[in-house]
Amino acid sequence: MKGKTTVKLNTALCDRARKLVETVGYSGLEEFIEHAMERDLARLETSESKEELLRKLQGLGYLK
Amino acid sequence: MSWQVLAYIGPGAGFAFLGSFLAVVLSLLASFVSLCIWPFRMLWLALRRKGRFGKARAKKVIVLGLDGLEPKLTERWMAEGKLPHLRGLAEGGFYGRLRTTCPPLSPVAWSTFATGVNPGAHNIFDFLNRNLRTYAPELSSARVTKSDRVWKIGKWEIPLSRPSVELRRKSKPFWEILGDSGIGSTILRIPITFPAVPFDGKLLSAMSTPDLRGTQGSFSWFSSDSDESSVEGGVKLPLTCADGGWRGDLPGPGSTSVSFSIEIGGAGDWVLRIAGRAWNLIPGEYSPWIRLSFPAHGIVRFLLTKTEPTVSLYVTPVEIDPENPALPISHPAHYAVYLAKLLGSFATLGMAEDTWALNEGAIDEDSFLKQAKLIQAERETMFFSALDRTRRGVAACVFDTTDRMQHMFYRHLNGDGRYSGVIEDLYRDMDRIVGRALTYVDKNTTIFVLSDHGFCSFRRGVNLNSWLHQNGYLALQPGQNEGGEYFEGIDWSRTRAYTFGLSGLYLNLQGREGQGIVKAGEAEQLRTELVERLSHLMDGADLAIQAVYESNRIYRGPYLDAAPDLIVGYAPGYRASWGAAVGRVTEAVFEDNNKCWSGDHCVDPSAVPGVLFTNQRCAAPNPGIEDMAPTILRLFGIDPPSWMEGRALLT
Repeated sequence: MKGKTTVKLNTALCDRARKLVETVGYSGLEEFIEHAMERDLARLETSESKEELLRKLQGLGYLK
Repeated sequence: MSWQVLAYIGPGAGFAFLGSFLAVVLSLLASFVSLCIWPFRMLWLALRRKGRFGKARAKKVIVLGLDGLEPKLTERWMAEGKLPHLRGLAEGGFYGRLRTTCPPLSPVAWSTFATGVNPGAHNIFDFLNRNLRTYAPELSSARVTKSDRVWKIGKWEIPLSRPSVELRRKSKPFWEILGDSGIGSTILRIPITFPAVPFDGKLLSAMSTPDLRGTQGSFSWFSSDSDESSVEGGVKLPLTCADGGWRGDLPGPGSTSVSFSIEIGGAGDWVLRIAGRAWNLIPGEYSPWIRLSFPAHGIVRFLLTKTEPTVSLYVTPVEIDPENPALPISHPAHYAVYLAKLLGSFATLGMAEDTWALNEGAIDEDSFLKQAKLIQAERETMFFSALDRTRRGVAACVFDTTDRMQHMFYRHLNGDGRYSGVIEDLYRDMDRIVGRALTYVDKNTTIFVLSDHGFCSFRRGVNLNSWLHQNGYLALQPGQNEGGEYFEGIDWSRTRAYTFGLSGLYLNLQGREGQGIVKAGEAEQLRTELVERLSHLMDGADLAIQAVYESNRIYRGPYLDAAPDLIVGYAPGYRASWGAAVGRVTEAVFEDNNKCWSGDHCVDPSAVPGVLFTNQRCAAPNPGIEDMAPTILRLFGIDPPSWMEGRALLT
């Protein structure tokens, strides 16, 4: 697992977010920001080939 | 004139000397600095911990997870006096059935155990997730992406950096919260902890840790009478005659392989030669872990399963070598190395018991049992070594042999054959481990023995894609009656709902799925219609589906968008069919399950609760697995954070 990267964000924006994140179920501001990034990346990134994804699942006992 | 021969000392030797010298000097310097600041570090830690343990009800918490331990069997054998330690724990403290998650799957339930939140807040809903644009399946718990910096030489690709690995389980496990307060934990083999995330404590990853080939476990099955072919969960490979013996190539990651040979030695025993070493092989007995370099480091066990008239050899998946791990399987990174050096090598694969090798006939029941027991012995050694070293904080370990063996031997449970006592013996052995763990319990220690779900038989499979097709919700390409794996042949432009994985049903929602057609305004009505039609679905005279749950009613949290729209609660005896789990459409909705994998828990959660034992009195009604994290935090005097949903059971 790669480590963490420090990013400088607008303090006022972070304060606004910090007040709300736990009420919607995040464990903190970091998780909220990571989720926001993931959602956008999912739309932008090209995914791995289907063959590669299926290869990674090989051997999982619950699936044929 | 006399000739003198003068030795030439080139600059390389100087660099080598200076390099080594510098390394020694820096090591000594680091040791000196570490020694100087050690008293201050200890003082700082003691001050942090003093405050914390001052409010604590327990100095030490032991968690013994027995994956899939079934309450009905436990209660029966406790009543018959066959599980004396569990019975004693129940009589002196507390025993109750533990409410599991919906769906009752290990990755989902153990994630809830760790975080104290529902799946909508930890993002694990099944073993599989889907790519919303392409519908392609992905492992829900971790994403391993190959290094994008590679050096290509001909057909070889040499990665110049390590793969990128992400844990997809969200929220924050209780051991990280304890670590923030200076309370250390040793977390062994709790599912969905790969990759290991840094925290103040030690952790060894479990379920979803891949093998060295990047799969969830691919065995190799060599035979002197077969050509190369694929089998489910592995590959069948030839042994070729060579020098009076047989030779094979064991595949590693990518295009790498390691050659080996087997032959009958002078004393009449079988000798395996691999990587410059020779090992005696006894037919029917596993070799020790053998370390190999591909050049990434892996470990395997060999098992000679047949010697005449043909030779057959089973090789376990190439697991990540804990002494030189290619991926982050522990925190700190050297913890796996330390365990391997201290206790010997051990299985690192997420689901190490090779269920597909038994399903496919590469090994028989006896060999599967031997393998499971070897793995269990490794875990037991590791767990008690951790208990020996834990004076304060949490020591937690999940034994998953209970789950794997029930999956494979449930069909024998009520029979009178050779294996009819396997599950009872397994429960008795777990009781022995509980008894051993109880010797580490004093008045300042709280112990929990729990399972994440129970078990039931798996006799019939249900293909809901086929039901959706027959009832006009799913369409195939013109002229097709069946669809292939992972939605091959599905006409998305006419499909409103589909299924894959073990319990989820998805709407093909416009704006969410890549080729979605169900408009947002129609989704609610479609969900209601499917719930009404599928709840109490019958297979002839038998109930196949007990209930269907709408995820937006049972989950809450920021990851709700990734959840299946409906969760199917199959009746005991039923489960998603093998075809439905991989997105196939078949002509028949119902089919017999004839595999060795004959027990399961992917049913309605009310049918398969887990168990909870503790040495403390507990009056809380209806305990749930989400209550465990807040309970452990409260035992150490820490208020559970606001996002945690469970409640502390021991107040």
